[in-house]
Amino acid sequence: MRNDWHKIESDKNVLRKKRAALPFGEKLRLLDRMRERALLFRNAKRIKQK
Amino acid sequence: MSIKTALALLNEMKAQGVIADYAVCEAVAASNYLDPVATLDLDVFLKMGVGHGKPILIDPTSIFEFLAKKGHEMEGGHVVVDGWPVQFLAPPETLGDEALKNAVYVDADGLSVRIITAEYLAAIALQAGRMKDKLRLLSFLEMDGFDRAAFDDIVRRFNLSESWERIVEEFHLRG
Repeated sequence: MRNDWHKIESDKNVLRKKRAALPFGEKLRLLDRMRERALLFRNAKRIKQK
Repeated sequence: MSIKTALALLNEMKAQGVIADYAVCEAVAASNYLDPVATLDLDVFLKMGVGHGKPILIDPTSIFEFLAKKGHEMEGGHVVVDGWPVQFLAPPETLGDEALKNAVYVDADGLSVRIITAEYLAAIALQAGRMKDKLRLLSFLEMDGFDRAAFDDIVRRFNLSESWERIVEEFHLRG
């Protein structure tokens, strides 16, 4: 387990900048995948609540 | 499920005169400039204008008829295109009109997509002022290549200085 919060934050910033620099076409594919995942979570929640 | 199908359809609608012009806004547009954030729908500003000598888009029926002919179903206030709900919006006031006018084409694997620029998206987020808008605005401020002078100019011209001062205070942005 990591507890060096400054390092964790700086690593996350590097990752964010890397993803921000991706071509738009690649980002659209990411949006497709993120939407599918969000819908899966939403549906799983609904089933759990029933 | 592919958002590119919906984006290609927007170009087709423009080419066929169903809409005068469009620009992608909100989360999908922001993802061109920033680390993409999950979103459930595609929001699009439409230009109210004249097509084939007749006023169009006063009534959105023509859009929905076009989409229905293409087999895209309605779901609430959205049209679903290849699994993506697409919401057509009138640009919010004069800021939205100017943002739409200054939108740019971006390449997505050979498909040209018209999107609102980062500086206008940031100003629209400032104007909207919801928590997710504030987070988006902060991300734009940290973005490499963000044109701060252009943003400041938009803020000044659209009387958003008070909203901006509140953000500066809330997020300790001074100095």
